[in-house]
Amino acid sequence: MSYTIPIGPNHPSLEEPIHAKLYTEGEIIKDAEVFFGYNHRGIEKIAQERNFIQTLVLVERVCGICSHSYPFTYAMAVENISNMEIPKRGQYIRVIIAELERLHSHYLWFGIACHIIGFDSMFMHIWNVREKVMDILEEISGNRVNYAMITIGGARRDIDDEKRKKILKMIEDLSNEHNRIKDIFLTDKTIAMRTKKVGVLSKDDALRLGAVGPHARASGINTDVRKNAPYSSYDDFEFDVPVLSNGDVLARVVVRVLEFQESMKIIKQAVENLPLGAINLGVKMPKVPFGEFTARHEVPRGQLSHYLISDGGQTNYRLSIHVPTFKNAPTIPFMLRGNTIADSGLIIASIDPCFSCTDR
Amino acid sequence: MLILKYLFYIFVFPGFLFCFFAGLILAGIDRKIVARMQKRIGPPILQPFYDFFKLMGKETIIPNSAAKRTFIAAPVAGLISLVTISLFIPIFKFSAFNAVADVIVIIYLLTIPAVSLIIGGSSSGSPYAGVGISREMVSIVSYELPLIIALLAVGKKAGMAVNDGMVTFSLSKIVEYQSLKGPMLFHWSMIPAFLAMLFVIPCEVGSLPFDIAEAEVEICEGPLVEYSGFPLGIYKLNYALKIFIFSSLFVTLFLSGNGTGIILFDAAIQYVLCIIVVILSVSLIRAVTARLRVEQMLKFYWTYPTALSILSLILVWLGL
Repeated sequence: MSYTIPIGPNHPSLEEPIHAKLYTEGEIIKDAEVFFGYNHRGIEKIAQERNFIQTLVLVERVCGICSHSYPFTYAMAVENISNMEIPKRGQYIRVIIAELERLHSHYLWFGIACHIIGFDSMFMHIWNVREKVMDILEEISGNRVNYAMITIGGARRDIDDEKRKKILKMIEDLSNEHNRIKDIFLTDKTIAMRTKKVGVLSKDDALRLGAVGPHARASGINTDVRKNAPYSSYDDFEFDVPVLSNGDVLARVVVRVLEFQESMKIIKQAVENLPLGAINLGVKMPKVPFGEFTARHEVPRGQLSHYLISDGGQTNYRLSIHVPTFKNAPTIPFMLRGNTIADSGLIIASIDPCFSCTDR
Repeated sequence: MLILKYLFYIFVFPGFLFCFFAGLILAGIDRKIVARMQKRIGPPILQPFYDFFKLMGKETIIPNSAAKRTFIAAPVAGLISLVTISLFIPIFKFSAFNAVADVIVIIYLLTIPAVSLIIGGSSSGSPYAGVGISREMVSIVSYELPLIIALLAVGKKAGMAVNDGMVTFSLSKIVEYQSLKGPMLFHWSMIPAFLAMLFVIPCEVGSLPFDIAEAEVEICEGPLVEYSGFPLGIYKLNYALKIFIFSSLFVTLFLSGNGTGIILFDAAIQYVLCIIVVILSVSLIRAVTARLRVEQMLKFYWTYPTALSILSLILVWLGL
């Protein structure tokens, strides 16, 4: 019995529209194709008609989960073209928010992965813990998503001593909770049965197809923009980049579990050593000279790059956003082959897809 | 008068109405308990009733590619067979129909709800249903083996005392044995079969680690994908009835006995025992496991529960 099974654009295991066609023999997937572009909003085109401050607001709406990363990267591009030196305190605040965002983004993905394999108790528990991070983000920025913490030349809101204490306390609570969750992920029998040797991506395939982020690191590629090309103030902090070589779904879970701990380390260092001084340059409307720049940033899902051309005028001449999911999605058909339909949703979700970003 | 009595048995107690309320409340309790274990508030215990009546009032859409009559008749056939099983299951000493070999009738009737799911799914013509029914078939094959061996072990144990050493296939004989010698559970040779049956319940009713045929995040509820309105409501009712009937069969096999002699109290005691069994075998397992793959389920059932029930059978045969 051979079927062609459509997964998506609307499917219960997908949060966003993507279409995967599975060519199956019984339960085994022989081949697969992936299509996306169901959610195109033309943000790059709109950006050409907006000035640099308006674009910050615009690119923040590219993604609802990693919404800090987009203005962060865009601001780095603008600042580099116009040779701005950002105050240290502003840099640190940007890093703190970026890492807090990584924490909640990874927990969001753990929850969804657990839901897909049917482990709803774990899903509820993880999302309950994730609320701690969301509360702190709301405390700092006033918003649960779209924090609006970035301005050209630094950060928009300060983190005072009281908030610093709250963050440190949250990190302490979180690391206790995280140890329990880590234990469950590493020892639970049913999770291992569903994720071990499922959706294997070999190192060669990952290199050839250009996988990025935790997805690549689970396949044995040591890549992390924060370490390879430190930006903002990432070279001030001590942290490791966990790399695993198995390349299966379990490895992707474990890489993110370990990365979570590293992020907590970075936040702790940044909050404890938060330098004194201004948080931004006080630029109202930047004058951006003629030039181009590619800014890179390690978002929770991998490497994000913004390519910006300025013609010296009021608006972006061209803004091109290269998102991590676009680079990871081509690996999906290779991971699906030889697996069962039961695992298809999990494998597609295992790249931590964000099709809202991809169809920007 | 006799016909009125049987009509009462079929439609009110222990037939349709009793099963309807008992099953849906049991499903509601299960949902509430799982929710509490997951740190959620959970739906009200009467939620399955609301769902059922809401579905009854909804429009029924039959896909063009479906075989219309089979599509509607399949869930009803499942419901009828479940109500029929309930007539054969004794509530302590009371049973509506008393047959020599009702265990065999029950084994046959228990497969009909699953078969109705297969027929209904295949008549809908959806590829998700195609995958779902192939999984449902595997799950029938998985749980039947340990279930039947465990039933044999129980039958042999009871038959040793009340049927001249022959295996008995009569549930009322099994109850009679338990009223003489105490519940089956207290005979240590039956404990492996007891455990095996506890593992069979979640697969039989299709709850979480083994709800592979209806995995909503994988194949969009499989056979149910094209169903809506009235037939979907009947399927949801079938799910609740399966939980109740299988747990009460379990109680009859292992925890039965003399009872109080008053049918109302007996039914209440049986129902409380059913709730405990469901919490142990459905809710607890559902809360702490992830969904298995279909080949993992087959492997699981043909190893541990089968081994446990065979162990019990051997122990009984040796006269222990």
